[in-house]
Amino acid sequence: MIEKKKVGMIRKGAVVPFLIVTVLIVLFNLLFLDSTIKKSIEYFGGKVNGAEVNVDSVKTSFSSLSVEVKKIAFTNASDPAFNLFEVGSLKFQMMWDGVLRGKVVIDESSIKDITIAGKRKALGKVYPKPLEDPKNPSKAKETLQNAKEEFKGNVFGDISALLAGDSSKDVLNNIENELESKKFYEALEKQIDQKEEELKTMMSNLPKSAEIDSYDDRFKAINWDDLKNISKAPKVLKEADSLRKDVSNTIKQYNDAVKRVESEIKFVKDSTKQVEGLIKQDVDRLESKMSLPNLDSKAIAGVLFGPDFVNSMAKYDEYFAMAKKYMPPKKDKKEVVEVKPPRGEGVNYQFGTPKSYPLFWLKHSEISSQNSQGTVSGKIENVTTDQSVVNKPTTAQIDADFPSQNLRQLKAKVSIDHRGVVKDSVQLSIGAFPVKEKALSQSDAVSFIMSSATSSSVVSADLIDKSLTMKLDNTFSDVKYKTEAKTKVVKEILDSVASDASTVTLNAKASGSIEKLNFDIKTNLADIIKTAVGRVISEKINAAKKKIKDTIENKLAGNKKKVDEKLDQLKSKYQGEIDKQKSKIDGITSKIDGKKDSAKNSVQDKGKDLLKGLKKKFKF
Amino acid sequence: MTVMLKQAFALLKLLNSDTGENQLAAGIACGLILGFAPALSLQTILVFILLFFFRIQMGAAFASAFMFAIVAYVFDPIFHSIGASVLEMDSLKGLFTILYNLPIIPFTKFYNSVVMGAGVVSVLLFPVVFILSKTLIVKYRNTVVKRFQQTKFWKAVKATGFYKWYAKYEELYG
Repeated sequence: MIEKKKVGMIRKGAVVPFLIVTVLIVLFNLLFLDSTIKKSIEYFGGKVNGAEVNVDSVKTSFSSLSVEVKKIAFTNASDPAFNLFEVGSLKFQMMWDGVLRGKVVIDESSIKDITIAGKRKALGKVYPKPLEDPKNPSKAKETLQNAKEEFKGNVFGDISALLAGDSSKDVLNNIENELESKKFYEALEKQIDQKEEELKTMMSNLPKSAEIDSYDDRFKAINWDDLKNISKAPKVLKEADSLRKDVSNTIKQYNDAVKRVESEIKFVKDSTKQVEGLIKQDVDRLESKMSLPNLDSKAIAGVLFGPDFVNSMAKYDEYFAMAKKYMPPKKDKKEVVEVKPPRGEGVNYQFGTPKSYPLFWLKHSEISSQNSQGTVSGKIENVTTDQSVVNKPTTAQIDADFPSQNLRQLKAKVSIDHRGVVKDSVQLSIGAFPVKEKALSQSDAVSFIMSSATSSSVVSADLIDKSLTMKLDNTFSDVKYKTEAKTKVVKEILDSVASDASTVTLNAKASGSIEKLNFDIKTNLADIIKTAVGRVISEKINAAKKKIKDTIENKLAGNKKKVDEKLDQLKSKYQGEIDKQKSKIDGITSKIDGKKDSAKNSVQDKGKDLLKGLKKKFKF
Repeated sequence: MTVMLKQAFALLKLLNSDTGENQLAAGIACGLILGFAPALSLQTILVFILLFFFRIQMGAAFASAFMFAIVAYVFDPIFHSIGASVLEMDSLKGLFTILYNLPIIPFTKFYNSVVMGAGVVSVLLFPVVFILSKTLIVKYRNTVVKRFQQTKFWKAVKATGFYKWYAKYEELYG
């Protein structure tokens, strides 16, 4: 007989699977952890950067919980042959205390050996921006896109077209169908015709001339002399009252008709006033279609530097949005739906100061770099997923100087405070940086390009709750221009501007809620262009404007004449006819009232005489 | 799933066999801790590890955890008041402050009134449940199982070829 195997207290069968799983985890960490972290940095870094991010190597140490990343290269999304910047080494060490609580807490980290604009070995991939939901577009992007549209234009291209006489060539042909004023006139004509029909019907329902004449006959038929006779007077008065009543009714009908005609005349007059506004709109529209240059300094400044300013605003807005996404403000967190646990929640007690950590917290990172390109120093503090736990804002301060790249005295100060109301700010100043091939106006006919300049810049962007303010003060000095134009006059204008504008200042400001931003852009270049261009083309602009106005007025002349005629017709035909009949009826009314008054006076006199005789007779 | 079924069959087998009352009683007592704990916490993970490494009857543990979870749902307010009174004891405040600020320990969620109440109750009831369930198992075997084995039905089943084959298999590999 086989003896049944005796079993002990420990489940030996479970130990082997447990050991296998443990060994697999250890092996994974030994063999693949570094490459997994490397891939993660490349993937998430690429997402944030919008272009390829490459990491040379990652070395982790489980015992010290440290990670060392070598050479992180961020591709420049707008020029993928170059890196935006490259970090030589990034070291950080996590705290066991945090890890044992399931959190990533980095007490100290260091960023070293930073270089900028280095040439890449291979072209970096540029990732497409995530498509926005067309049903729910971002308000900020919509506003900035609208602002870009507002600043759309080509100052010198428009001037060149005007001087060449091209601008008005086709625009003023076949414009009838586009004119809102003409459409309005046509609609108005139809409305007047309809109203005239109504007036005709109304007139036909009014008492006719024969009826009015019959009142006169009835008046004559009344024996007014009988009013002197007291016994017959009531009968006469009754007849007179009946006539008076009929006449009053007719007067009322005519008064209503007068009011109606007057109101229709008023309508036509008001409508013709409205047309004036539409004509102005048509003129403005055609002017913009003909691209007549606007010689307002603000408008020129907007066209020259507006799109660039809006682009940089969009970039800052993106950074702020990213900060909000990864460091959500306290009030946003409340929007998370709380899932009630299936069992009673109970009450959580707190003992002393809880050593709680946010999910991620980089306490301090020291940036220090010194290489052949230049120096970078600074610090980043309190990068965290939950600022309310840390109770500190995220801050960064960077000072950099890259003489070899001509990027001098860069100072950046960033503060992201999401503990309560969002308070984000970025202050950036650059002592000098090179500007190359900056096109201020470029078209087939004209090109006005800042070929080289040295610029200094001070930028500040602040977001408080939903209110955004951005200021940009740039000074371009030692500006060299590249000018080209098809016509000699334009070329002269461009050269004149170029020689006067060796230093260009730009002061731009945008403020307001992100849904409605107010832009204020000023530049001395606008004034220089205005002066240089104004002399030559102001007469031409005025002539072109007059031409547009004349063309429109010419096109509308027929319609205007028709409407005026109809208005005159309303006045003369209906108002005249009514007035004529009304005066006739008014005559009858006054005659009746006159007779009644004289009869009344005569009866009163007779009464007085009778009273006098009676007084005499009875010796009163 | 196979493990669960295996454990369920093993539970029935153990209940009806002559041995293993300690495994079963320990399983039921561990089920008490699992069922009373309101959420996944460090102590429940520890119980799972014990179940995995020690020969504690898992089927009994899971079945009793299910039963005790239903009971605990009704008793949550009582657990809350017990837990709250323990957590509010001045004499333990120092200990709790130290524990609260230690790593790993906060994973037990001891600072929650329901967790603390349920924990205290389950620790107190653990030996009681162990002893009581062991006694009941022995009694069940002596009365119910023995009486069932005397029935004609069971004798008829025992006389079948299939049962004899099963008995041999059980003797060799069970």
